[in-house]
Amino acid sequence: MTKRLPAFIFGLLLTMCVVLGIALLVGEVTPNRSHLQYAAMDRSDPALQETAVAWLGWVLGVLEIVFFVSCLVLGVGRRARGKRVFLLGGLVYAAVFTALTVTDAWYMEQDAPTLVLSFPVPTAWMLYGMWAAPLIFMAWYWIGFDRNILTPEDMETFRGIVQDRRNREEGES
Amino acid sequence: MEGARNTIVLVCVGLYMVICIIVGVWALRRTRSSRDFFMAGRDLGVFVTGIAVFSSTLSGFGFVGGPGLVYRMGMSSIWMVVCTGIGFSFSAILLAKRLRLFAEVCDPVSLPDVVAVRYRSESARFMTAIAILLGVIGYLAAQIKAMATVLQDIVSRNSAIGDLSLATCVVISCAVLVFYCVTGGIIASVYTDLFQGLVMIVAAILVFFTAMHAFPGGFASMSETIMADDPAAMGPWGTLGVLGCLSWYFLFSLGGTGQPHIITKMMMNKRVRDARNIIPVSFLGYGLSALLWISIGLVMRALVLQGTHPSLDNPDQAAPQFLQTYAHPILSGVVFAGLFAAIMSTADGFLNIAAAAIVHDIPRAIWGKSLKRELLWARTATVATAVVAAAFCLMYDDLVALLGAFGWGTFAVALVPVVAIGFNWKRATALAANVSMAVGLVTIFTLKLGGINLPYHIDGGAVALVLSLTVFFGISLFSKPPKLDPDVEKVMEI
Repeated sequence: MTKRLPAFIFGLLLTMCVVLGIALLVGEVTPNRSHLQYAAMDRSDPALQETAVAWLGWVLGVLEIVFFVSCLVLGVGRRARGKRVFLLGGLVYAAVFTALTVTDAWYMEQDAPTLVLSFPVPTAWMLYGMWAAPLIFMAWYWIGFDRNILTPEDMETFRGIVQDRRNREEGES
Repeated sequence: MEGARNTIVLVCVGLYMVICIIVGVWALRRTRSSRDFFMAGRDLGVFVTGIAVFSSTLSGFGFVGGPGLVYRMGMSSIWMVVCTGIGFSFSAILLAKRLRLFAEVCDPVSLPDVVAVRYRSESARFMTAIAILLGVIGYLAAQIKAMATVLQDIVSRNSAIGDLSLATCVVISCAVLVFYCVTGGIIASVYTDLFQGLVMIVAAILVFFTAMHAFPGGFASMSETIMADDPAAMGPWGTLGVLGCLSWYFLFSLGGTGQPHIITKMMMNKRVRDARNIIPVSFLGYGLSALLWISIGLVMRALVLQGTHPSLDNPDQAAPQFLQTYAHPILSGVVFAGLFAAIMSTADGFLNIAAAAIVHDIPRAIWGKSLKRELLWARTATVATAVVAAAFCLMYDDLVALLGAFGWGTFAVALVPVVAIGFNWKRATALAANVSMAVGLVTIFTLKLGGINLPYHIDGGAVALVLSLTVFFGISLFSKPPKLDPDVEKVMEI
């Protein structure tokens, strides 16, 4: 799996190029719309809230998440154990993003949106969910550092590499 | 005390400037070589490094530009904050250990030094140095603009001094910055990072609670006020829209691993094993400090919509005017001092890496050796870089945050593939590194300097990053596997 990972990541990038290409070809360049009363504030553009754009956004967002998780697995390397946590974390991450997208579709239709911890539901998914979901990876890193990232054996190997290099450089000089 | 508000703020800012100068003089005595000037002797502890990493990340861009963008666009720019969960995970897993291991093997003075050894390529070193210089100009211009904007706002309220032009404020800001940078180098940068990082955390928490109480009903009421005016502004995509926000999310999530002024610091910690704790310390610090970004932007938009506060002429005024109007005078003074501290220590990091690129990396790439009297030339290059960046900031009328986004994007498109990916993937080639940097930089500069806006407010930096990553992976996959330095290859196995 790890040997094919770079090719998989390349495939993801090509797909993102296609999605972005569609957006750039189909969309129009529209200037920021100034608030009618306060010039330094912007107001929203209904064209950016169309269903087709929302779907394109969901596809792009999921691609980004899969790309991010794949890069993390690339960084972890072949030898680290417990990589299933990345699959689990990725699924949670994508689920949170999907929940954000789905609730956002309903949000604009509500007269009096529900607030969760002071923010509308989709915004709460963004602020609390999208920020927190990836922390599973950082927790894995911190808790499993000595088992998965830098073992005592790794340190010994590394010291040997550094010592050999210094001995060679001293010998050459 | 309210009558003396402006005086208190000026005193706090002045006191901070004096502390900077003192640290600069102290660091001058410890800076005896270009290695001290650029790498601080690789002797820093976890806490110092962790706080330095986060405070380099959050700067004028976050303290002035961020609230300005929230004021202008609603929740759109919060994607630049929300990305820190995944962004710091990238820094931890892709870089923290890897960079520190390389630092011990390569004994570098700069990031291009490490790139040159990893790819066995002086052209890759050269391209990296050029990318750093180009990114520094844009990003440093944003810092200088932030400083000058805030200084102008503070000074204009003091009748004894009166109005000063933005250009005059740029000159005053740069004078202190350059003195501090020239004398202290990276040692001064890191230790002021520590001080201002702690100030930022304390200030941000206090500002958060102040903002909550500045608007009757707190954040829930602010949300309702903003939603009543424009529901989309409080939605997850703000007024920018879904594709614009996701392009920022992509650029800012990955981009942290390509910011040389941040990642260089990951090579300076004393022990390799410190890599475990540095990033979590940074993440916590950043998370607390980002409260200021979110709270000031939202409360100012709500206050203006409510009619309580006059409309702003420029969104970048959101933070200074909030502090001048609603914060306790002493808190205001502390936060302004912290704000200058944040800007200056990040700017110091930029000047330091630009000086390394000019006097160390480019001469090595072209002539195979560094300049004689490298420390003297480093100080000269520091001054020259500040002058060019100051001129750039006056030429471009962009908001602080948008100038910063351009600078961030320039670093990201060049260095994310080469460093974050290439340091973890043995198959990555020097050709891929060079071509991806060229493609990324040409794309982002064409879009920015050509004034080309993209549909759906998609950020040009994100498009450039996708392109440079695609080129990097594509060329590497279809090229012959490179022959690495044997020690580098063994280190990449760890």
